[in-house]
Amino acid sequence: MRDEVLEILRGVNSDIDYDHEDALIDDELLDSFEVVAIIGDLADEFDITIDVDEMVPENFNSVDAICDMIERLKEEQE
Amino acid sequence: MSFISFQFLGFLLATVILYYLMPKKFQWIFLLIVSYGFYLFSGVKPLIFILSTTLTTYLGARWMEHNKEISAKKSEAKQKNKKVLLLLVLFNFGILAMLKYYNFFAGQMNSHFSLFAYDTKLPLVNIILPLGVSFYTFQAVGYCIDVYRNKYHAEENLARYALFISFFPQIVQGPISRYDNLGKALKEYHYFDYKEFTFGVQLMLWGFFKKLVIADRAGTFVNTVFSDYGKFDGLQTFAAMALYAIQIYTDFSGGIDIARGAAQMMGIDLIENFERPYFATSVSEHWRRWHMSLTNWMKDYVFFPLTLSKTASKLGKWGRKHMKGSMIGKQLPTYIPTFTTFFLIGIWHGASWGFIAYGLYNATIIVLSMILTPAYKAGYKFFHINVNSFLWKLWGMVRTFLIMMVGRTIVRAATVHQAFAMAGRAVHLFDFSNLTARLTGCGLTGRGMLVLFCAMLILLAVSIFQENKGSLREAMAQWALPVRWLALLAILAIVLVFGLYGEGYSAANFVYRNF
Repeated sequence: MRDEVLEILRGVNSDIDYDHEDALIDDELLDSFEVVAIIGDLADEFDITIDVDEMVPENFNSVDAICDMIERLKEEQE
Repeated sequence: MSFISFQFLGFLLATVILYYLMPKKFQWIFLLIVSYGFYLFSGVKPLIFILSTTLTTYLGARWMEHNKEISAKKSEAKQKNKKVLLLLVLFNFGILAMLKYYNFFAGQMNSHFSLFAYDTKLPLVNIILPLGVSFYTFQAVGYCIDVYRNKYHAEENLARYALFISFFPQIVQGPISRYDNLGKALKEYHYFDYKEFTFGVQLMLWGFFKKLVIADRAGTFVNTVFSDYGKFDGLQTFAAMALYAIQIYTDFSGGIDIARGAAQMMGIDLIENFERPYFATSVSEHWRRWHMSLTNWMKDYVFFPLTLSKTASKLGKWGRKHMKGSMIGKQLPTYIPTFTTFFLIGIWHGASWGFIAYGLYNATIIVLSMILTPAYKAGYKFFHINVNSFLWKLWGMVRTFLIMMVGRTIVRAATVHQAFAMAGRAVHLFDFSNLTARLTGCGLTGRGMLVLFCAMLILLAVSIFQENKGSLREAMAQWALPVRWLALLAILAIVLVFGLYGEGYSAANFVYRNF
């Protein structure tokens, strides 16, 4: 899953070192428009619905946080 | 009561002294009484509006909390709470709309009626806006949406919630706080802390400097040119447009510094509202640095819900399918929400075609720049442009400043037509001849212009320091005591000597107080 998420993130903004960043939102490395683009790709790739309630920095600050959110949403939406 | 008055300084000083003398249990109650006392200075009638917003949003949030407790399923509670939230939003934004937009709407309708020779006329109402209505309404509605989204639990104590809405330093012009930050800070007991207190005083002093030395002085120039723009040439018009961009920034951020400084004197941190917006290299970055509490509100409660709505999701799916790999396809669902968000940001300021045009102007530029990003990137590659170089960033800052300058002219000018006429004159009639003589013929004397120029240089130097090294106040705290005091006394002297004061030392009102 991690590799697919990384590929999506790099497809939207390739200038960020995602392996070492853990404050993608808090440090404003990704802007709102990029987050929306990432959400669309994540929804397609993992067949999940990302609701507006999930739009908190903790869910998008790092690759690991995004993976955790996807796993949680997959379980909830099964 | 204006922030720029001896009355306010006396009020604040007495409040701070008594605040720290209060027994632990009563500190926040004292703050609530003082906040309502401060509000009463704006009149008794406005109290009805702030009380009705406080009561309805408090009860509505409690009702939502109750629904969560009694519902067997989360989805069931959410269905019920959606209706409660809708009621709260309609009621509170309904009040705001009636107060702020009714006359504009009625005026527009009447002009259409007369166009078609109808005799009907909607009556215009003489309305005085309650103090801080746009700020506290957004703060209260944001709180309700957060409770609906389970971000935190509803406050149980009505008086504590009333303090969150009415806290006096932020009631005049924000920032628009969130309950999980400010609500928590207002609940805690605050011991006197010398560092917090002096930092608060320093921030207030800096706010007075921005407002009295820069904003009001720039305002004199701006008012002179904008009130009769046909009389002035290109250079003077350009200077007035640029100075208005500076005036609105120093006026608003100066007021916020005073509000944040006053709160910090009591050990309470209000959120930042500005992050040197004129250092932004794009319009979207500018909006991430300007009036951040409003733009973040709009992002969380308007932009994201719209971009993640079912319709936008379908549009996004279509875009990703038919424009595979392209950023336009991925960002397609953000275009309409961007226009909606900036339209709302525009009319949040007030009801006029200028504010609507200003919002749509910003949205158009942001969406266009998103669409053109791939072309820009190809251009950088082709021309070997290093986008991280200082010169390229400087160009980005200048370009963004000019774009925002034109946008702000739309708001400041009497009509949208005047704004474009002025922008045209600034370009066509521009030349550098007789620079000093021409710039001193716009309401400010040579000395006035010199003071304004030097004050803007000080602001620039401080901003560069903050951008690169962080908090200047933290750095100053490391300086030797005599040097620190000398610097503070110098700023105080500048404010007292070069600040623009009206009759009885009352300064011009803050621009954002009217919003």
